[in-house]
Amino acid sequence: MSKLTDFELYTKVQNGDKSALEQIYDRYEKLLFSFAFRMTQNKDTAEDVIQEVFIKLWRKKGVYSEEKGKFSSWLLTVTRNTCLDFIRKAKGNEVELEDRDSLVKDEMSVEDQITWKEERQKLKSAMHLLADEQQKVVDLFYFKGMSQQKIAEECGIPLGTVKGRIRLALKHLKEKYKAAERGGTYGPKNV
Amino acid sequence: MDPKMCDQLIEYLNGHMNDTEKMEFEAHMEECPDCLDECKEMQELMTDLPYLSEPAAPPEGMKERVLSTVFDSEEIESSKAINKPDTERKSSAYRSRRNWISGVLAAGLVLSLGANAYLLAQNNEKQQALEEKVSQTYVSVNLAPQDSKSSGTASMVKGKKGMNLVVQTKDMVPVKGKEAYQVWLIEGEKKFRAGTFVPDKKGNGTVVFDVDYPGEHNWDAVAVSHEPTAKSEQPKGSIVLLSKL
Repeated sequence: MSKLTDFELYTKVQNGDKSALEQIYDRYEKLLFSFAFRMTQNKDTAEDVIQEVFIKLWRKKGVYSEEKGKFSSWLLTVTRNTCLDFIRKAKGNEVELEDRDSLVKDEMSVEDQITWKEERQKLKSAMHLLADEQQKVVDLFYFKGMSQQKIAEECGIPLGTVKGRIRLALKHLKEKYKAAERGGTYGPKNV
Repeated sequence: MDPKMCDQLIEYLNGHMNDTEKMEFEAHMEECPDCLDECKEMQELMTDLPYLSEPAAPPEGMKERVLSTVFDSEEIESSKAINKPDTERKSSAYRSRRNWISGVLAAGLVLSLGANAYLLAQNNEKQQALEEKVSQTYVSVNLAPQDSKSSGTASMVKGKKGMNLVVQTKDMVPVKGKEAYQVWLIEGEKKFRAGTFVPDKKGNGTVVFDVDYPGEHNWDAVAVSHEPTAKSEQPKGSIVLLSKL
């Protein structure tokens, strides 16, 4: 039996098919959890995020259509937005997040890591080609979800330049990543 | 175009806006092609970034916890339409999993008025004092065990500063390490934390919780779950006690 596409599974989920939701879960558990952990830096919170994402999916609160691009991209965006909600709430309640370094990083086998290993390697290489400030701005904006004001403070730059810097850093990253995908040279480090 | 609005894209993408601000910004983008293009471009540029995440191993048992909560969230919703106990509902593949609401339906639901009237009849001497207390009790229920031998009561009590939830339990299984019991108030598919406790050596545990969640709430049920830590923002462990409110 051929494997169902994400969209086919999603359509089944919309019709209340529990096994389809379970298949989506199995397909994305590790990626979504790793991403949620990267953003929240807390395993309990990351699990709460995953639970919330799948409740949205199941309760049809998150609506996907093929016009929105790839299902995986949409699911990751829903996950990011849910992470941002949890990060904000955690700050509001002053819940102490665990120090990332104090956690056991992972107990996954190499095989488990393989699903997005190649993309990650290319992205990491591309990221390392960015200037340190650009790497920092990507992290503060995308993974930490900070406001413009906070990013300006953290980077010591004028508020009015934050958006432009983020955009530029992301553009450079994309270019380097594409170059890596083509197998070409990365070019010099941006400074 | 409002130049101030054009500077709000980052706040929009990172969710630093309330609902009104978000709607205003979306309305602005409809009139400002530059902002719309910029937003689309940024979203496109962000697509691959999740793959930068280092692989992290999901906690043991996460799949079962997540999926059972997800599917139970549906049952809570559907149970709202049920007026009286129906223990013969069709079983499903997930029926045997921990179940937030259906257990309530089978459980004996003891409302405060009957129970308190009985108490009054037992003690005429303190009738006046009891009446005063009874008048403050909004609702009281017996908590039904869910695959456990535990028992307990939950009462909503109107205090001077507002509503309190008082939960008393007995015959609770001892906790290990960081584990704790967490009380939840359930409204529709949402679960609100309502106190944490660790039972004593005899298995007794009590929680008095100020129910001061903002806004109007129509609580459907109260539950006690056995959690891996006292910090769960949403239930992760198994439900040991549950009753409809």
